[in-house]
Amino acid sequence: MIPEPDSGHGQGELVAGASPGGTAGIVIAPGQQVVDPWAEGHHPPAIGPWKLAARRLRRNYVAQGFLFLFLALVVVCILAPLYASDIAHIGPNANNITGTINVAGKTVDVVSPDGVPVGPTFSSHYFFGADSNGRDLAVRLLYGGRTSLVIGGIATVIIIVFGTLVGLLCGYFRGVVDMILRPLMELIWSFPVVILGVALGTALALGGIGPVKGNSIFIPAFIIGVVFIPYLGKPIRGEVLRLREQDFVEAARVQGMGSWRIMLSEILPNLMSMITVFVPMMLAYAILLEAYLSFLGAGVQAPNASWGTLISDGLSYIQTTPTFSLVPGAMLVLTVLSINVVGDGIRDALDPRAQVRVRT
Amino acid sequence: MNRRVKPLTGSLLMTSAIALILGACSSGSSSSSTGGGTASTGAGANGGTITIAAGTAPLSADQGLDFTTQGTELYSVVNTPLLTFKRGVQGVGGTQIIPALAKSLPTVSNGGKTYTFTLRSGLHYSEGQPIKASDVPYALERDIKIPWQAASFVSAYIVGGSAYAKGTAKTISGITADDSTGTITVNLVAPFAPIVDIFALAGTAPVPQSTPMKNLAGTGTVGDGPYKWGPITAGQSYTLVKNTKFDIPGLPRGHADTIVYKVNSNVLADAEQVLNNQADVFDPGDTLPASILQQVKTQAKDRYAPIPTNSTYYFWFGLTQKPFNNLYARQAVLAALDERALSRLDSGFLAEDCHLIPPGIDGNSPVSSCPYHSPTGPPNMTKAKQLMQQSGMIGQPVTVYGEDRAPRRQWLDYFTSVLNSLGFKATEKVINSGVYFTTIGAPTLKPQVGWGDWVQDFPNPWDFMQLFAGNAGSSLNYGYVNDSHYDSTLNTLFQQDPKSVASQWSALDNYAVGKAYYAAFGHFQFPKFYSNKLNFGTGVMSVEYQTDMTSLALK
Repeated sequence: MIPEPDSGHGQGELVAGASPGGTAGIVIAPGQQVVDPWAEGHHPPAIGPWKLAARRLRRNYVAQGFLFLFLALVVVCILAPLYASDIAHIGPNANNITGTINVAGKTVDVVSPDGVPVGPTFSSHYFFGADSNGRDLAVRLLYGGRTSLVIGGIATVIIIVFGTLVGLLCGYFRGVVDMILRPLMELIWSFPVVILGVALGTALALGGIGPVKGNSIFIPAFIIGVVFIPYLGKPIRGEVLRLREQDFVEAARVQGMGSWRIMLSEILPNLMSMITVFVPMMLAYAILLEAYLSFLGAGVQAPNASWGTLISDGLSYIQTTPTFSLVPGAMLVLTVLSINVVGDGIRDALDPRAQVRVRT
Repeated sequence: MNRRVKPLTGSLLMTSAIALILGACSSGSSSSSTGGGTASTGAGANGGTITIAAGTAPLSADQGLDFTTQGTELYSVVNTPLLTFKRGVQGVGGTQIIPALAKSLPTVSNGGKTYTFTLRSGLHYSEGQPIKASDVPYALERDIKIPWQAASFVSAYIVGGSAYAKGTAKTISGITADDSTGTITVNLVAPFAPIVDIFALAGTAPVPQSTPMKNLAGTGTVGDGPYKWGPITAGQSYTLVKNTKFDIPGLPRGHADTIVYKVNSNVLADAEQVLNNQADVFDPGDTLPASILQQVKTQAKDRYAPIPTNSTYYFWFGLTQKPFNNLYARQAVLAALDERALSRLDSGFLAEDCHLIPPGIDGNSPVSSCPYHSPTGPPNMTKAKQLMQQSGMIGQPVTVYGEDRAPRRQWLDYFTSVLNSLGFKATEKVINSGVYFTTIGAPTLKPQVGWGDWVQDFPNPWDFMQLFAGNAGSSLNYGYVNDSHYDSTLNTLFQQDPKSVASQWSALDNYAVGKAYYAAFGHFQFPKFYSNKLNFGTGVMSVEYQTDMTSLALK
């Protein structure tokens, strides 16, 4: 048994290879002197599972590259107001239908008298062109990205918090609690997420929820969060059912710890690696579903933009100016791709069976 | 097509004399820009299948429920009523009412309270059953039971209609039928001449008494018109098949053997199909997207024409609450509204104007009389900001109502941005097109501001100006305008020949613009756009039916 100072929750000690911090996957480099860790007076350095995972992740250059890409996209979207005010000089929802701009020395209508908006100018004004209302697509693209990311982030928080809570309650208490909550999860699970999302989105977009108005971005965030709760809640429940039978939980019960304390201090820490793997996955799903819903008119409400609404708005011009749809589509693909690759990297890093070379 | 209740309500308050005279006079009665009664040309080939690409479906194939323009296009050739609007004529000539199942126009007696119709002899439904006089009251009772979107036309004006609607009577006592003589007698609560218009609506057409009193959205009803229903997939496709037994003197029998109305909400794809001759007719209720318009104009110039129609698009203001109970706030909006922008959002199909009465109707005012700025020029933002300061309504929250389909949603975006630029805190409420007008017209809602439109029922200024009458009701007067001068002028002018009082109609329109009861922004043109397989000259864009199905013919 290796003393594991970093674990410190419940189990107290960590069996090598049985947890993310295990050493089962360590490969000894050729020619390296093999040191007997059990030798008298020798104490191998203690490495916690998270530190080990971080080391593994640092050696996954593909994941790091996509993490950098994702952060770059986030930063660009955060800077949207700066771009709008200092470069494009127009807000995301400002209509400029009868305005004119100078393109290559010529004055052109932002929207022609028969309704055709200007295409990409690749200059500070209307870099990606205008939509039918004369709004700057580059500005809306960045603001739309903010919206998509914020909704994805809020939805992910909802999924993680409530998915974990429901999974914990069902798995730990079983019985009546499980009989009530599990069918609810099954009910949501049984609906295709897009159809359920569209149905809820259409209904709530009109009246909102309580003080939250129908055009608030919290509505699609809430809907996406709700429809994906079972996607985390069910696997968490299964893991809790397994963990609650472990010796360290039994020991905690014998010591007189209450159910909530056992859940929070003994079981939850052992779910963290699983939850960590789910975070990027759920974020990617949430951003994609937001795009679906907004594309179908059941997500972000006009005049606000998201990548989904921009793709939808651009469809009318897909033959004449495909960039109207392709650019927000590309942003969406890059974002989801980067999240997924980073998510895979995190999963590999937390996988105790991963064959990743680590210097101990 | 406008996914709204067809605006025939207006015609109900008109005298039948006006309707009949105007219809009969055709172009001679009006300086209509709609062509003034152009008869279709060319015989057109008979037979074949014609496909219509439509962006919006009717609410139902059952004329006992539906009263949308999309539905009217279709079931008006399936269900022929006692009277009908003249087909095959483009322009105001198409508003002429002629006998259909009835031998002649009704005789009026009892001081205008009794109308008597007599059925032609030997009439049959498309399935072979004979048409009986008693089928007419049965159809009207069915209209009330389902109910027809315009059921109040029957229940409010025919004796016993309201009792039947309330369920306290088993029949509508005011309508009697004698199957042996084919006589149908209609007794009205009070003289109400527009009953003639009502009996020209497909919703009042007889149906066999075996027809269930429920919405037959998936099959439609057995009819008596030049076409009968073929396969229907509700909301997706509607097939009309020629009724070879149809033979009523004076009524067209149609050319095509089969007409398929295919619904695809992607209007661009619809237009592309027609351009590439994969579909034959672009449904005129949808706007040709700007992205394809130039292509249509160049590649299909011999099979495309914008047809002016007497219509007006406008924004209305809720006068019973802040901020638009304030005159200056309303005037500020009119000063800041750029009609050119709204026209561009409609692919240039709008003729910009600030007046409610369109150019084809007596009483239309020149755009130069618009008080805040020229509709064909830029808005007067300086004036608008001054008015906003005077109003004291800066910072007031406003919810703007509009439809979800193009270009209505884009109009909503634009209008909301105008309000925000004036200092309001405006947010949008986008309503599905299928329920938009019923939503904003609900008496409990009292919306603050929103979009509206009106297409003529008949070429008379009253048809437009009655929208803001105090007694028009929440289903028309969405902003609850209630102005005694406006109402009394309306009621006086209504009784006179519109041509003789055109200047007074114009003055009333300008009075309302000055009061900023509405922010009218233009008059629409329908796109008549066919494939090259169709005879373009034969096809008629009817004032009453939009695409006149009986006029469509292959080359």
